[in-house]
Formats: sequence, C-alpha cells, structure tokens
Amino acid sequence: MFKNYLKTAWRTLLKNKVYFLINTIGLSIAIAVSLLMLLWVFDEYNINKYHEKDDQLYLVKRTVPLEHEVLDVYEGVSYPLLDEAKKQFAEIEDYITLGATFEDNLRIGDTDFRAPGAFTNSAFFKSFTVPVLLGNVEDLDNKPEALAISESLAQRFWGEDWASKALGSPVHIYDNGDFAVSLVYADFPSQSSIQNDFYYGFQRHLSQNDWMLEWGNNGMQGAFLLREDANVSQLSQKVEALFHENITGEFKEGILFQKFSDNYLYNQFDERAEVSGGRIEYVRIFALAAIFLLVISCINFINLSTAYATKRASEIGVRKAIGAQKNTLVGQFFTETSLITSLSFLVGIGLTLLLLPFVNTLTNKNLGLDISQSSLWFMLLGVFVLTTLLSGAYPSFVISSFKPVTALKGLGKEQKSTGTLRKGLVVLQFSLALLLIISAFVIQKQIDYVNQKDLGIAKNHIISIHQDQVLTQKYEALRNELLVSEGIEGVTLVGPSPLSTPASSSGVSWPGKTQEQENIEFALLWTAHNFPETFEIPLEHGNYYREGTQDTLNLVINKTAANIMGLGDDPVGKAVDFWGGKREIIGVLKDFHNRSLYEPIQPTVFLLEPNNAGAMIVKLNGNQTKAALASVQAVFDKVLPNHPLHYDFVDQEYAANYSAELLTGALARYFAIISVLLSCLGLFGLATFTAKERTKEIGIRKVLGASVQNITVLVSKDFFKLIGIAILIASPLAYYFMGNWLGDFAYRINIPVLAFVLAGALTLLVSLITISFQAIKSATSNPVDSLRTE
Amino acid sequence: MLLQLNNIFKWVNSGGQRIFLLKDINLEVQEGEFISVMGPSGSGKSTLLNVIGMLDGFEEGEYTFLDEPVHSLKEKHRANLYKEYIGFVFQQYHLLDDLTVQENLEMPLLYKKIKGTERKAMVADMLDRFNIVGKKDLFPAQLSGGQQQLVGIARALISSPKLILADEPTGNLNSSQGEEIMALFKQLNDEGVTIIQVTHSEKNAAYGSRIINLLDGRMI
Repeated sequence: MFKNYLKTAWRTLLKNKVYFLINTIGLSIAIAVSLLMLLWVFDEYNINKYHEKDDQLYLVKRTVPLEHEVLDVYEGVSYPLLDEAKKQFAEIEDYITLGATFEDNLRIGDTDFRAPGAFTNSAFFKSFTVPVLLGNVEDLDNKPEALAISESLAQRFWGEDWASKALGSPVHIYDNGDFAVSLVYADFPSQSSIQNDFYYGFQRHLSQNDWMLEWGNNGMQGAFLLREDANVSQLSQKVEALFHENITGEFKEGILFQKFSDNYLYNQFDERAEVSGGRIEYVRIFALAAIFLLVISCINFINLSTAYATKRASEIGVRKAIGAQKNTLVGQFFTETSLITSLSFLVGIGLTLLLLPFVNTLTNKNLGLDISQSSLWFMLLGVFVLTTLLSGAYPSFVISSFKPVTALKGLGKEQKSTGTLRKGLVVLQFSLALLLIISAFVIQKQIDYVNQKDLGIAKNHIISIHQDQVLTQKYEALRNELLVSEGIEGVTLVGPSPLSTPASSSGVSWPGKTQEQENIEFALLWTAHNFPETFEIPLEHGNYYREGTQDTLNLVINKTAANIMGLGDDPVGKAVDFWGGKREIIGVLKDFHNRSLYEPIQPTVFLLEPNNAGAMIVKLNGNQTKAALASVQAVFDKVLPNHPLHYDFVDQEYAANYSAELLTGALARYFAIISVLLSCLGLFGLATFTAKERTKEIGIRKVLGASVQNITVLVSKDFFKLIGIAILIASPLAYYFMGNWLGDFAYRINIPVLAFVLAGALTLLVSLITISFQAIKSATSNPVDSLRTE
Repeated sequence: MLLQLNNIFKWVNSGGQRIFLLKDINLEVQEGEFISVMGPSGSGKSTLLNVIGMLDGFEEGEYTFLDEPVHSLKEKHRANLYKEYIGFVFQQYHLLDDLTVQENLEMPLLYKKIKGTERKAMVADMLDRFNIVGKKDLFPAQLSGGQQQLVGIARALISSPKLILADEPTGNLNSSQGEEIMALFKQLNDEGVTIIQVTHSEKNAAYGSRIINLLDGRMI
C-alpha cells in the first residue's frame, strides 16, 4: 500500500509542478532559517552550562537601595565578604574571585602578543570545568609571579612543542609587571562566556590594591562553590546578615545569589531585584521569529494543498466509491505531504550548511551541525515532525472527508469552507510578515537615532591607547611630538572611559544630602586638564582644572550632579565632601551621554589625575585619518621603540554597546525580507490556482466584453482585501511590541507612522507584482481556449 | 433477496422549504436481477443509485442489504459492506488519471488489503478476460472512451461483487461502443451478477429484466 501511496504522490507532484516547486522552495527556505535560528538559540541556552558543578556555582551580587525604594543590582562584591563567608558557613566549599577582563600586551623574549586576561584564584580552576594541562594550580595563590595561560596562547608563544618550554618561562605584562608561566589550561569551549587567555593570581592583585581589603569596596565579581545540599536562599540571607554586620550606613545593600550559568541570559533585574530579562529576550524574539517563518511557509502549504485538493475532488470520489476509507486517504495525502517535507528538509539542511559561515560571522559564533550531538537529532526531528504535521494534517483530513457523491460532482460546500480558511490563513501570514517588516524598520530607526544622536561629546575620529606606566612616563614627550605631527588635533588623558564610565562611587556628600540619597552613585572620570576641549564638552558654569598632575582641593561635576545636589544657578564656590576631604566646586560641565542610551545620564565627578587615568586619547583630523594614524605610529616608534602600539576607535567602542541591537536589526531585516518572499510565494501559488479555477468565468466575461483591466482588477481585488485586513491587524500589534522594546531605552524615537505606511505600501507593491503576473496572464488569454475545456 | 428498501425518503432543505429527492421508495431486489432505472433528468435516478451504493445517506426509511440493516450501521462497517459486495461503473468512467490501467484495476484490491501475489493474479486474470493485456501500462488518457469504460467495468468487477451499479454507463459512448458494453453487462448478468443501471435509452433498458420508472423522486 505504501509503495502505491508513494507512486501516486510522485506522479501527482510531477503533474502539478508549480505547486510542487512553490511548496518545496518555500519550505526548504523556512526550514533552513528555522534550523539556523534554533542552532543559535540552543547555543545561547547552553552558554556556561557545561561546567560539571554548574548546579553549585553561584555568583554573588549586591542589591543597592536607591531613592523611592527602588533596588539596583550590581555585580561587584568585596573580597572580605567572600573570604569571611567561606570561613563562617560550612555550605560554602570555596569562593572564586573573578577580575574584570582586560586586553594587554604580553612579551615573551622579543615578541609581543595581545591577549585578554584577568586575575583569579586557584579555586577557579578547581570549581569551574577548566582542565589544567600542565603545572600546579596552587601556585596561583602562593607565588606572586605565577601566571596561568591557555593552551592556544602557549601555542602562539612556543608553537607545537609548547609543553616542553612553557613552565617557568618569563612573561612580561605591560601593565602588571613580570611573571613566570606556572600553569597551562585547556582553551575555554565556545559555550563559555569567559574566553580569557591568561590569569594572574588574585593575591598579587590584592597586594597592589589594598583598597580591596575594605568591606565596602567592590572591585570584582565573586562566586561561591556551594555544597551540593546547600540551601541557597537561606545561605544568601546568612551572607547578607554577615555583610550588614560589617558595613555602615542606613540604607544597607543586600546580597543576591544567582546561578552562574543563569547570569548570561538573565542579567536584568527590575526595581525589586527580581530577574526581569536580559539577553533571553532576544533569544525568545528570534525563536519566535523562526517559528513565524515556519508557520508562514506551512500556511503556503496548507493553502496550496487545500486549493489543489478541489481539483482532485473527483479522484477522491472515485477512490471512495471503489472502497477507500477515510484513514486510507489520510494516509495517502500524508504520504504526499511527507514526500514534499522530506525533500524540503534535505534541501533545507543543504541550505543550512551553505549559510552557516554567513550566520557565524553575523552572530559571532561557531555554530555547526554536530551529528554526534543527540540534541541536534532531536531538533531536526522536531522541525520535521512539526512541519509535516502543521502542513500535512489539516489538508489530509479536509481532503479525505469530502463526501463521495459531492466530490464526484465537483465541490460545492466543501470548497467554500476551505476557501474561508485559506483567506484567514493568508491574512495571518501577511500579518506576521508585516509585523516583522514594521519591527525591522523601527529597530533600524532606533539604531540610526542612537548612532546619530548628538551625545554632547565628540566621539568620531578619536582613538584611545591603553595607558601603562611606560606611557605615563613618556606622556609629555609623546604629546609634544604628536601635536606637531600631521593630522593630529589634540591629545589628552582620560580614564577609565568617558563613554561608559564604569567606575562610580557614593562617596560624595553635600550640605542637604538626604538619607534617601545615600546610595546615589556618582560616575568617576580621571582626566587631564584639557579633557573638555579634546572631547568638545562645553562648560555650564565656572572653569575646568588648570594644568597639573593632581588637584585635591577643587572639584568639577556635571549638570546632572549639580541638579541632584540642588546647587541651583550658581554652583561655583559651593563646598562638597569627596572621599572624606573638603573640596570646592570650580566648574560644571554640560551633560553628555556617558553611557549607552538605555540609561539616563549619570551624575558625574571629574577628577584631575592624568597619571592614573587609564587611556591616552588622540584626536585625529577626520579628513586625513590615514595620515594621522601613520603619525601616531611614527611618534610611538620614535619615543617608545619596542613598545607595542594598540589603539581602539572610541566611536566603535561606543557602538559595541549596541551589538545586540545591531544583530537584532540585521536579523530582523533578513527575517522580514524572507517572510515577505515566502508569503508572496504562497500568494503566487494561490493566484495561479485562482486564475485556473476561474478560467471559464474569465472566458465568459471576456466574451461579454470585459477589458483586460476589468479582469486584472477582478482577479487581484480579493487578495488586496486580505492584505488590507492584515495591515489592520499587524499595525496595532507592531505598535505595541515596538513600544515595549523602545521602552528599554532611556532615549528613544517615537514610533514613526512612516514605518506602517511604508511596510503596508511595500507589501502591497510586492503582492501586486506577484498577483498581477497571473491576473494579466489570464486576462489576456483567448476566451475560445478557456471555454473549450467544458 | 439481495437488498430491500422500505419507505426511503431523502430530502434537502433549501430556503426554508423541504425539497424531496426521493419519496417513499420501496424496492426489493433479488440476486441475479438486471434492473434498469429510468426517468427524466432530475427525477432522482442517480440519487437512488447512490443510496443503494451507500455513497449517499437518506433521511428516513430502512435499507437492508444481505440482511444487514444499512441505515443503522457504523460508517466503517458500511464501507466494508460495499467494498465487499458492490462495484460502481460511472458515465464519466472516473478512472484515476495518474494510474495505469493495471494500477487502476489493482486499486480496489489494495483497499481490500489483498496480498500482493494474489492481487497480481487477479489483475492478470481481469486483463485477460477483458482482452486488454496489451493496454495494461497505458494511462486512461491514452485510451478511447469505450476502452476506458471497459477498464471501468473491469475495475468494478475485480473484487467479485454481488451487485454492480452503473450510472448511465454508455452515456458518453458512441452507439457501437455502447452496444458492446451492454452486451458485456448482459453476459455478466447471465453469470449471476446482479446489475442496476440508470439509463435514458429504451434500447439499453431492454437488456434488463425489470424497469423502474422514477418521476420527481417517486416510483411510478
């Protein structure tokens, strides 16, 4: 029987080539895109989950009470808290100190290698799954010169026989001094959010940063390895109590435990410090978009199969008359469906393989079809079953339930009911497509807005060079040489970074500061005297610091800070308390956006301390960047020979804030295009079918004197009505969703009406082209031919 | 007795009015009969045939087929009944376009779940009997109308039914082809197959042993 099913299916498909091609092309594209998206989604879900002790690894975070009982969640914790908690609570097996990743140059012999690294303690290698290939992890805690490096870095240093050369080799890190390799660890797998190539010991870091010994100073991420039977919520309360015993102040910060592997996808918290989202939102959006595409192409399938089924009504009648039962017919049509879905599936997998490199570049991942993984098979099976069921089930049942007598005569009622369903599905399909188009448009507009918004601070054609001790010593010489070189407009020092202001402190007080304002964090920027000129930030009041290496008597703040302090129109000369010392405000800078536009402008304190700022800033002439960069290289070669030069463009670093949005924008665009194409593919199939169905009607109308135009309108009209309805459905939905998405930005565009108009117009245009092809074809056909058939 | 219809009524509702397709039909058919159903267009001939063939239901009355009460049988049971005992021949032949002659003949056997070797033998037998062995690999579109109807009849006969229902079997054929087909029916009837045919032609009706006249859904 099955062989017979297959034979019939194959012959039917060959006979209806348009139907067959549209279904196969549409489905294989949708399957490929959904597979790619699923691969990405799975990868995201698996980030950091590979650690064997995943269930026992918890990040320690702080909840900081702000004004109006709002809680903010910070990732940094203090060292004494970790250390003391481990001593006091038996549930804690160990604590792990995780320093922030930085990029630096490592020198081996005469060669420099740039690599990302951080500090940590030996517990990191014992608690997380990071296999040690060579050496002793305890060295990291006990020997200050100990350095751990990854296998791939060792290979870069010493080539294939690194194992015999690595241990004990001296390595110089520009910012941190001299080390010797004491352990080599296996590279982090791609499912790790941590990708550091080297680690130095936390104890060494601590010895150079004794401020970290204070309970109130939070200088790193901290994690606990808990005992398997530990009660996490009880423990976090105990740790919080311990923390409260040791810090001062009225509005005390709380302690929050989050599973280490959850941190990657769920790192946003609401004002009650409950998880509110994070990267997971994007994962969900794209999983949904992939399903949308699959649904759109399954709708094509359903519409075409039910439409073509009416052509086969008499076949069904005959089969029933000669003894076919309903389930036999369901089997037959299901075989046909499965034949198409299987074929599409194979083509889809081929397409996936073809598109993988492109997607990997786009998403910056290393995705692949790893057939040794059972999850891949489940995924493939899932997509296959879903597609076959979605597209096969309904048509099979509809077709096989035709009443034999009616079916033999040609269809009446049945046809009408599937016709209504078809229309409904077309509306659904175009609503989804429109939703994607409008979203893509709005996202793009917001990204443009973010990129073009005047931040109040110059960011283009400015490069930043990491400021290490050598550079600080030679700064004056470098600056003098640079300023007389071609294409250089300014040189200054600033740190850590003017456009992300990672450092902050609540150690600012002023007369009239309320208790509620206790925890307000002021962003800190260490600058040189010419910081405002170089970054083109105007002064609101007073003056900036005069040239010098330090000024502990005066203070410059931004407008937002002045407003918070309630200093009014004349803040200059007012006294404030900063880190326990009295200072006088000498100037107020106009506000500039010092963080991503997700967040409002922070109150900021500018300090004069060029020698410890963090970055040397060189402003280039925008018209001759190439020459300017050459000048920078030349000056460095002259003043600091043997010193590696690495620079980043400030605007690019700022744009990195929006990498998720850029990815979203790009993906949304692709999804929108594909969804429209798929929808129109289905429309084309339906239009072809309708035109054939109405051949006789069109023939009669032409005989009666209808013009080509009349006929074209007649055939197209129905479809346009459907698209019109889709526009009405999709617009409010898109408005709602995009409003939500934009709500995350502190600075955002209003949803442009143009988006709806353009999306509607675009869809109508593309469908017009699709439909009119068929409409005109049938309108210009010879009525004698079309009437002859009966 | 092969089948019996008692007080069969069939109607449809249209615009609040009940339109009768069949009105109080009482009919008894013995095995071996050759019945011709006649009447003007729209008198209910085909409807009656479809009801007898269990392709269509009815609103009122009782229908007994080989002592089974068809009106109260479940769909599946009914399907088994007509699969086993009834063969259809249509005016438009209704062969499956995508299947060859041989495959068309095979189809009812597949639906009856008959084993492969037995099936092959039965098909070969039927091809032989109707003298169409040379046509077995052709598709219906490659045959003349008469040849197609021949295949149609062969297909109806292949599962050895007790009853053949033919709805104007010669309606689309020229007169010599028509005569051939009618001669074939006569021969089958002589071999013991019960036949009910719908026809317009007095000449064709004359092949039968009994004539039923219908007018507006009533037997007259």
